[in-house]
Amino acid sequence: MSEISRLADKITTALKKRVYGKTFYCPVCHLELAYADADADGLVVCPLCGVVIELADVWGHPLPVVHDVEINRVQPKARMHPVLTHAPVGLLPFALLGALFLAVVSLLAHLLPSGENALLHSNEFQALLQAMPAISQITLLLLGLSVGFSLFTGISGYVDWLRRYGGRPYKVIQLKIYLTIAFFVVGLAALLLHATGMVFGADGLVAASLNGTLMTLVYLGLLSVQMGVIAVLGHVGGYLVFGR
Amino acid sequence: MIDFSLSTEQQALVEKARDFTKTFVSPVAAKHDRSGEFPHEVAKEFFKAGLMNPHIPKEFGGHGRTVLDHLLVMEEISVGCTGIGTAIDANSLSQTPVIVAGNDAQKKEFLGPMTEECMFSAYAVTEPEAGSDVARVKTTATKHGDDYVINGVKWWITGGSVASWYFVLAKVDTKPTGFLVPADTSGIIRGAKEHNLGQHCSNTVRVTFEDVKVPSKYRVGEEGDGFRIAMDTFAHTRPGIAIGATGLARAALNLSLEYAKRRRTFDKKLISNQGISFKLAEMITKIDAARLLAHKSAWLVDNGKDNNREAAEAKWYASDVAMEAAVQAAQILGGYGFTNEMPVEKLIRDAKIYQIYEGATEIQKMVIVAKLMRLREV
Ligand SMILES: Cc1cc2nc3c(=O)[nH]c(=O)nc-3n(C[C@H](O)[C@H](O)[C@H](O)COP(=O)(O)OP(=O)(O)OC[C@H]3O[C@@H](n4cnc5c(N)ncnc54)[C@H](O)[C@@H]3O)c2cc1C
Ligand SMILES: [Zn+2]
Repeated sequence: MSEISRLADKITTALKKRVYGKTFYCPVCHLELAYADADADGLVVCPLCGVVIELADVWGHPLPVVHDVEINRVQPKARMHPVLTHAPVGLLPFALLGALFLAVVSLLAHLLPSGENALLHSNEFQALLQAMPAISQITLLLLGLSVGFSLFTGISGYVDWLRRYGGRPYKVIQLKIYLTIAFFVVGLAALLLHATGMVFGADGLVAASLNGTLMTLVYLGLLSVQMGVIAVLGHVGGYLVFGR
Repeated sequence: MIDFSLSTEQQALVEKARDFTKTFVSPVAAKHDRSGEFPHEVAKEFFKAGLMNPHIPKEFGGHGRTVLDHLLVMEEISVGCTGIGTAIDANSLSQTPVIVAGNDAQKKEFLGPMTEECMFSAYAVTEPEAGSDVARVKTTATKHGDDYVINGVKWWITGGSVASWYFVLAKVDTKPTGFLVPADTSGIIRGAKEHNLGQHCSNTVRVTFEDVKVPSKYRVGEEGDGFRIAMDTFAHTRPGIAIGATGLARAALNLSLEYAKRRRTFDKKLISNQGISFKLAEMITKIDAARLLAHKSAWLVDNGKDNNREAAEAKWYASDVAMEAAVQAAQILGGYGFTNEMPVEKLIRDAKIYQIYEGATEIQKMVIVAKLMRLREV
């Protein structure tokens, strides 16, 4: 788990470098902000703690000078977004598990020598094969819900941005928007593959062909990318709520 | 004739170093301060930019820069981060004994490769029992045929665990003698990195020598020349320490000035209070004075004149200016001068070492007094 978190941290840092450019830290809440977040007067309102910072660059050293603090901002408890994020995040791993399970069972069904193999002919395995179409449908449903909810999460985030953050063009928000779009588009592609039967046939199994194998790999790849995107989104979002 | 202006080449050197600082040093200063990680990447860029190993003579592939020219570079670098500055420029300290007292074969073998790739060397003189009192070192070098065998413990060696060779001061019988020792010689044990108050990314370690065999061709000068060589080295390097401190003081001034121009209290800008602005006036005056002392001591040594007193004055004074400026800058920033999310508290931590290494303040004053005693009139 710590490996995954470290990887997410690495990817987040690389992405931030790309999207943020030069950064500095809010001296009050320690949130990493972009130089580009400052307006033409060099002012930036910290999205997390609300201090109004005038950013000076002194010989390459960021010098954030605090001038004011915005109070009475819409408080986190009134926000739908942090709550809604749990839906796509919570559902996706189960969809991925389902997909992996389908792939493994397909592999067993196709690869084990059909003649004398006891496992293949066991009642349990046969029952499992019977259940495969349903498992495929459930996986599809979970994926559909995750991608579908992400739309609501995205919209609620957008509303939050307008309400709580005054629609100011923060790089952190920009990064989150990019990632959400990536999650949604990749999710749609995976849904399309699954729903059109290109990965799992009517029997819930992968077709025993090169094409079937390739499609499964692409499908699993797309889900993994989504997992990655979610991990990074969680990281960035977490900072935005809790600071560093 | 007195001329304080810089030549076009010197001006270009300053600008190059300034750009380098803003691009490669300042942006990673806080990161290296927190992690303590040695700034290998910055050093590589420093090398590529032709700013590292300034004094290696041209005939050995180096830049052959004067002490003064190197001061111009190091003041700029030190405005960015003196920890990184110390780490990437410590080579100068160990290269100087070779430059001032080594023979051509030693220069070729030890300095030559350093002009081809980014490498490090270290000056291993101090011992746990002998810092200011260098003559007290206990490390021995015993002659065995054509070799010397070195035994002893060197302590607080800057760059000690990244160095590919050391300048070591050891005693042959009772005679202090300098040696060049490749770091991969068997019997050399490098200690763990010390956790210092400041200049975190500079690598300070213990280096132990256990029966380390060194051929006599690696002896610098004659037996007994070691103390003189170590002191001659300081004549060349103390102006550089003074300018590092000056650069740090400039960082303190820059930051507190920019802060005071912006931060408001009691409905006016901080800087409009004389209680604050006078601090800034004092800072710039002392910085100017420190720089002049440093430059003069460098100019003297570049022109083959004795600079012992002037280098000591510069090193002592500039290090005090750095410490004071850092503390005042923190005062101007108030609480923000105390938090490590801002670049000022680090300056206090980094400044302290200037009053200690390469001869602590008291030792500089002893050098000054020694010269003073010999003056007929002042
Ligand atoms: C970060 C760091 C890096 C260093 N890098 C190197 C390096 O690369 N190579 C190297 O060889 N050494 C290095 N040193 C060692 C450094 O040069 C010594 O620490 C310094 O010379 C002081 O010696 P000391 O610590 O033994 O103090 P001491 O000599 O024990 O002195 C203690 C204090 O007493 C004062 N004092 C001593 N004698 C007198 C006197 N007669 N009258 C009045 N006051 C006196 C000193 O000024 C000092 O303040 C480094 C040290 C540090 C901390
Ligand atoms: Zn903040």
